[in-house]
Amino acid sequence: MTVEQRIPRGPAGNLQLLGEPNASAAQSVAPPQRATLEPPLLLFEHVSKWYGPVLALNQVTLELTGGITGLVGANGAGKSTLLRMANGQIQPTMGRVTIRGVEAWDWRARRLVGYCPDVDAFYEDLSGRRFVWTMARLCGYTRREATRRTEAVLERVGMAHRAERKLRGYSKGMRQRIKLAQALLHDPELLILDEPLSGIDPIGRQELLELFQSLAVQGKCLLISSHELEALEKLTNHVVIMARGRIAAVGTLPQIRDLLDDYPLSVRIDVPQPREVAQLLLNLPDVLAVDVAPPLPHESPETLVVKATHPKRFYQQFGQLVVQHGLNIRRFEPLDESAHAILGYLLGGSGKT
Amino acid sequence: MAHTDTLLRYRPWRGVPHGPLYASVALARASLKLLLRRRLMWGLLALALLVFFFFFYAQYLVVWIENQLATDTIRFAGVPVNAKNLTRFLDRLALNGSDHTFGNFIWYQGYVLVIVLALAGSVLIGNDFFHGSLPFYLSKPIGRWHYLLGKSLAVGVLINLLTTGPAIVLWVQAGLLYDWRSYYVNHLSLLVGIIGYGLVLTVTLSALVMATAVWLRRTVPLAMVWMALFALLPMLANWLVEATKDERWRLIDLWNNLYLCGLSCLQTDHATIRPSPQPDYWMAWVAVGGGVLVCGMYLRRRIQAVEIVA
Amino acid sequence: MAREVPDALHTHPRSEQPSVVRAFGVLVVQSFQRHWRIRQMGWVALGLLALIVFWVALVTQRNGWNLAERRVRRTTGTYQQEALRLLPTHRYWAATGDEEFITPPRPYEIPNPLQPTEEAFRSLILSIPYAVLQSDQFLYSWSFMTYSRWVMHLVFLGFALPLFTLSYASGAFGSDRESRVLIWLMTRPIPRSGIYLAKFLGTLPWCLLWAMGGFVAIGYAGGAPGREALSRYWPAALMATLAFASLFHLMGAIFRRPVVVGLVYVFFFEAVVAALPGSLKLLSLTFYARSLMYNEAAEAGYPVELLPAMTEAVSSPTAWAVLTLAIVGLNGFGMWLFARWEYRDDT
Repeated sequence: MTVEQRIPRGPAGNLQLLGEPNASAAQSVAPPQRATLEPPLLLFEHVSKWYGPVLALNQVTLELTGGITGLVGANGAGKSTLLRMANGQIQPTMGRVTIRGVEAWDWRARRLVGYCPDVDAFYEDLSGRRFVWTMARLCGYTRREATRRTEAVLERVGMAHRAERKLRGYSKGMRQRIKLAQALLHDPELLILDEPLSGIDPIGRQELLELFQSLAVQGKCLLISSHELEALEKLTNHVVIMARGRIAAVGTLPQIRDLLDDYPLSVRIDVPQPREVAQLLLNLPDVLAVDVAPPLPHESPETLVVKATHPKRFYQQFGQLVVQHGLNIRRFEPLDESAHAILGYLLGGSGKT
Repeated sequence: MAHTDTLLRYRPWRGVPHGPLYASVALARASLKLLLRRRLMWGLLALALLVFFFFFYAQYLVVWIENQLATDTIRFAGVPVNAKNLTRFLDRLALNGSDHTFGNFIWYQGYVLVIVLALAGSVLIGNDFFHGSLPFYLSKPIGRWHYLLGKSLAVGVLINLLTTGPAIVLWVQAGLLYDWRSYYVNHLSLLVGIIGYGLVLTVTLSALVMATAVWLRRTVPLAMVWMALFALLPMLANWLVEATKDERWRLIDLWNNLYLCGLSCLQTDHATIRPSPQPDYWMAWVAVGGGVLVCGMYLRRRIQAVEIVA
Repeated sequence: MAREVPDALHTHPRSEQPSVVRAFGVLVVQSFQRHWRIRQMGWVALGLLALIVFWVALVTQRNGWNLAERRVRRTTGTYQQEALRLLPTHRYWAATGDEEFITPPRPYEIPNPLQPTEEAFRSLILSIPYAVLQSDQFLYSWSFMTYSRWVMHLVFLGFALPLFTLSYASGAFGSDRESRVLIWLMTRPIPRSGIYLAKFLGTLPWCLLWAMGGFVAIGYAGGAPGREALSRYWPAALMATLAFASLFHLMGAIFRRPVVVGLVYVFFFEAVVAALPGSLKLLSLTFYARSLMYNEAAEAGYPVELLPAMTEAVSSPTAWAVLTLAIVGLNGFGMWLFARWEYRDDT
């Protein structure tokens, strides 16, 4: 099966998520508009990659134009292969990967890409500042310009005052920040971040999430691979889900959820007369079950948990029901539209499809 | 979370764990597997196998020529030559199941063994320090000496795989080529000598591999030091002996010292050793013992001082 | 954190554009500095070089290159003492018991005055060694060739030069791959072939420093023959250094453990193949370097027959051409290969 996915973007190059649940993070990262005739920032065209007999990527087609995209999937799903390919570290066995029309393998493409690898290896005898400065020099900047950029990126990642020590003495979080700093040096259009949040403490994580959002606001396109689904969810609800070398799903989380017709949707509804409403709900054709008893003691006694198939149809029918009976809905919350739940549905209990 | 029912059926193991010595054996096994996963290692083993096969078939060839063609004269480049003379070029290797056969075999295997040990030192010990996998081992209920013992066992297996093992096969083969009853009975001391030679090699080279790998860690300096020990010093020793006519200069050549110790285990007549002159056996034993002692002292010092910083 | 900071990365009025040529130059310097930081390797190399230089200096100080001072095989005396012992006067003194000798005279050395013709002829023959040893030119030639054989051909070309170039040239990529830091270079906007070449150029000064520096040190430690060897053999040493550096740099780019492969190459292939008769030696790099040295000594009129296994030396132009071709070819091939190779050392 060929999975062709063009990430849906609005005219601003960002997802159209207004009015949809969990859209707040994505709204704040809308990038400025780009010329429409320009080639896509990152384009995978029917890309496959074999490592010997192992098929790491299978007919992947993907296009990114801006904003923040999360890349999730089980270990060995092909995420790192996809990221390395986007950065020109490996070549596709079949298909084509381009950055603004330039082959990703071409060195010129790397001017447009900042890559933060998941490898935790550095020139350990250098200080953080010296390392970033050397990376800037290796981008082709003069000494002065390299110094200026080094200070700027160190400031951005919160390492300006801690960068004098040798890298070998850094904590994992500090190393992650330095990796991020070197990726930002040449002000790339596309930032590829492989597990950028791993090993970072909660405060630092929040800081980095804000940094990612501010970069997206400036028009950068961020492709972030992470197992930290909660953190990723705060950042964007636009994800690419990978499984066994294929793109299993792509889009916003609600869009993906809508596609999962086989899995009943769970919705929490707070109403003053839960039993009466439960009866009404059970009459709807798509409702499978209604749980009246609150699952946890501290929850409100007015809570219902509804399980329904065909989410879209259920939302329509429920809307009609509310209008017809004048129901006083105090809270309406889908419980399994989180990235975690969707990933669980898509990848199965074992994380494999 | 989805399969808690399965987890509930889990019953913890109630056996008693073995002591740390078993852990050393497990460590040795894991280390060997780690090495044998590398294609380069198999290439080196293939080189060692070439040397073995040369001795194996040449030993057979010599006996065959002696038995089949002893009285024949064949024309070699137009000149009639006694077929027996054709094997003379192999006399230097003494391919006749004697003490020198096994001594020479292990001597020639040394060329491959040195490179194998340089690789083993860097992969097995250097990498543990360099890539920070030492805490992984030392977080288990084993001491630091057990760690070293495990690694030494792996190195010892490699040494014996390349030297003692094939030498024993050559001994068995020699017995089958001659009258096996008399050979095995009369030359049992050679088997003991081969095992003794292997033991000396195992102890000395394991200690040396450990010490140099803990000292240098990286492959390149490790290889440089090994080559200095096993290529440069023999060159210098040869020249110094030739120039000064003082055979004690050979004591700077570790491989030659091990060779002398091995030959003393094989009870070889000192006068028949080539190249000559050679220092006395006891001198070689002292030199080898001194080397092991220095390595042991260095390891002891390093192990007491080791501090793991992840 | 992020939003208060002015964005200094956006195109700044004064910001300068990146240049790939500049990046290439920086990479050359960075590659050079990387080796400087791995001090341990430098110390080991220095130790080895010191050992060789000490040995050469010791032999030189003991006049060890001189045939007259060299000990005769299976005797305890030197060639000078042996030659002196064979002179008629000393033979007669020995026969009459006026002089005590270290070794007893052999039967043919005992004088026989009753047969004057035969004795005269014997005395003439036995006096030849002494006469030869009186020739300074012969002694110097012998010293030079002995020094060339043992120090230049065996220790320098057979050990020091390959080991130093192997250590540094293979380490250009080898140490980066072993430390898994090659990724940082591969993500920079520099052409891959440029990365290969820059790494080579950054490493080359170290190879030259150790190999040629070692060559000079060994030469000066060797006294007069050593100094002459310096002036005669430096082109061969230089070409060999460049060729070996190119080869080991390529090995560093291909193999994960280039040093081990390099050791097998140097101590099996070069040591065995270069000594074999026939055409196989044409595949050995040291054979061409040795040929250059051999031809240089032959042109200067030295007895090159003293150099073993060099009777089939190729002509100097051929050796120059092959070594030059090897340097250019190996680097060209390396650049081509590196531009196509995927590195996945972190996996």
